[in-house]
Amino acid sequence: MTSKIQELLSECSARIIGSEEARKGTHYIEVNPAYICEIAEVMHNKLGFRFITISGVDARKHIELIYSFADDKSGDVVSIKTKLFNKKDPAIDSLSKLIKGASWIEREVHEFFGVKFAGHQDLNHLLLGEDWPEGDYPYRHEND
Amino acid sequence: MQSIDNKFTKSLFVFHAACSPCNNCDIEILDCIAPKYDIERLGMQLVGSPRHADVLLVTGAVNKKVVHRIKMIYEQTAKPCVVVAVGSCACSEIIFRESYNTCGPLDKIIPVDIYIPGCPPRPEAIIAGLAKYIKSRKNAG
Amino acid sequence: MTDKNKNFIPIGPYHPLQEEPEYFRLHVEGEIVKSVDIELGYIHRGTEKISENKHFDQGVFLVERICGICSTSHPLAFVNAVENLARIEIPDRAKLIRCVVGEMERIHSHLLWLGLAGHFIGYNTVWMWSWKYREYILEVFEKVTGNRQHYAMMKIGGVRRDIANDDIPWIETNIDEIEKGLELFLKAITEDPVIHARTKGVGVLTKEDIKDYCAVGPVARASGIDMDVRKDTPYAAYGMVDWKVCTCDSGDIYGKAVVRILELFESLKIIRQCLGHMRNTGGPLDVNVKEIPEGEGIGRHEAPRGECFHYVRSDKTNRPVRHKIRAPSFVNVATNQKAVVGSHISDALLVLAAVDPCYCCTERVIVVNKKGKLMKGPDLIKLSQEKTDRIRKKGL
Repeated sequence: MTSKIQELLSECSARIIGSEEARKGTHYIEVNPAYICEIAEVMHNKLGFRFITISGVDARKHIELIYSFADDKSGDVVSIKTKLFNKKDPAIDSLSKLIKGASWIEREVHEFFGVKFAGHQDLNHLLLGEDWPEGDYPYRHEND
Repeated sequence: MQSIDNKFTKSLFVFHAACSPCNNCDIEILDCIAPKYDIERLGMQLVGSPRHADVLLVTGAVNKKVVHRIKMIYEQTAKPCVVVAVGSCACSEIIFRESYNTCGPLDKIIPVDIYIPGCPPRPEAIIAGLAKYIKSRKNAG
Repeated sequence: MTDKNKNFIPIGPYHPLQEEPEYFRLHVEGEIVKSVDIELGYIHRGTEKISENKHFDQGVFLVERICGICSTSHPLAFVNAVENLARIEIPDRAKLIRCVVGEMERIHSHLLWLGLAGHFIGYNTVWMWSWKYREYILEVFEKVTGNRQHYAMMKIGGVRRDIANDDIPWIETNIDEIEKGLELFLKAITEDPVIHARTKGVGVLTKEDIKDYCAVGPVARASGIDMDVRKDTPYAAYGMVDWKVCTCDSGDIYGKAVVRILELFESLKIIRQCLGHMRNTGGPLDVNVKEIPEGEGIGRHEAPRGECFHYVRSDKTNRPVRHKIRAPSFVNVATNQKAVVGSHISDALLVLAAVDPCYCCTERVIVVNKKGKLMKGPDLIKLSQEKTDRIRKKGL
């Protein structure tokens, strides 16, 4: 475990529910969705991690969002996991003000999983057509 | 009809429309005009507008956002126009048949005259497909 | 500015860059671009969803069809992810072959970009020459993999086909041919005053912009950020060979072109070393993979356009429960929102092309202004080419 990740763990220890190093260089840290902006700010602005993407997962009972960050010096990938249990109306704070590149990524997650990103300027369709039916989220398992 | 058929036996102006392809068929079409294959020596030329085109080369599994646009492009071409489905995606959609965002193979959307299968078809195959068409027109005329 | 002078220029929508074709709408005042709207989705085929219904071996076939230009990058990132999940270690010869195929793809992709960039600034000769040299690499591909594109070399636990040791000298002669061409291009780009005038100081992205937009690959390296997945977490055989990451500090189009050309030389270096190692490395091409355990894996690969990211989650069945793909252009294209602002219309096409999208928009570019004047794609290229002519005449 590199010093950067140790620093992250100690800095945000109050916010972290659990963490593991699944493989060498691949870390998973679970946090409460309310603190995602705080953690992203520490990682992006303070520790110099590069934001990769958000992977949404429909885990049947809840929706899981996995925010992946990379440290290009050591080659580590740190994935911050959050679980949204309100499947009817999942919502989480937006990172787009903090990281401009997150804007499109959040739009993509919004249209595939219906997650609302509070504070996002423009949550229009990115990949699907404008005439795509409202409330139909193709990556949700209800559609299967 | 005979006179129109004859028109298609000489230099063909080709318009290339990409409808959600993976890019490969498109590169191979461009490879056709690059030095190694050089279809311009056969009198074929890529043109910048569908209104100038005799032949419409369509690649890819047409998705829901593109479907209206390919219909529009087809309407804009001067008739008669030969539509060529280049690649397996345009012919049959292959693996993308199961997708929620595709609209069926090309021949469900616009009438198709020639199918050139292959993933991707080699430049030789594209040239051979067009040459076969020209030959069949010559025989018909 | 009155409203009369406020125009917008739609570029696109067809743009067969991986699963991300783009529709750009440039808002211009006079000759200057003020802002840009980008619309995606014309090639969205729901690959991630299809992947959930395919077993892991079929998944390799599927992700190969995400993009024709990077048709070994996605499979390589995907097998990296599955191997990360299942803790599979692949044999040495397979590592070397993965490296060779990955680097050959980089050569073909960068040459393709170089040719099109040449076409945009009015050097059609560059286009034809670089595509001519590209054919050498395609011939190698055809010989070793059986296809010019879609190589189908990757497989979970190894590679599908061997590169015969008898073929190695022939591959090396082809690579020497490409090197001759590359020296020509490097000289053409670094010594031609017209290319300097067209590309230096145009579409500049600073280090902060790159960090803000999370850009990757040659776009980031051209702004002086020393990042390359091949170096940071060596996978396949990248740890076994000697090479360096090429960077440039300028952040403009010139920097991006130079970085790409220098990278080509490094790729040739890597291929030569890998082929050398292969002569002495025998052994199996794959390990037997029985089942994929429950868990999650992350795989990354430095595709020609930057970091390609795959996330796979398995529930011990033979299919992934979730397969997330982040292609490099998804983040790189977003940098256009910054890079193109403030540039001339005649430069805009070049700036938009500098992140390495494809040619197809050029055939479908239409310029409309409120007076109803209509300019087509070729006209916009002509604008760009006329500017080159003007600079050329001034110089003489």
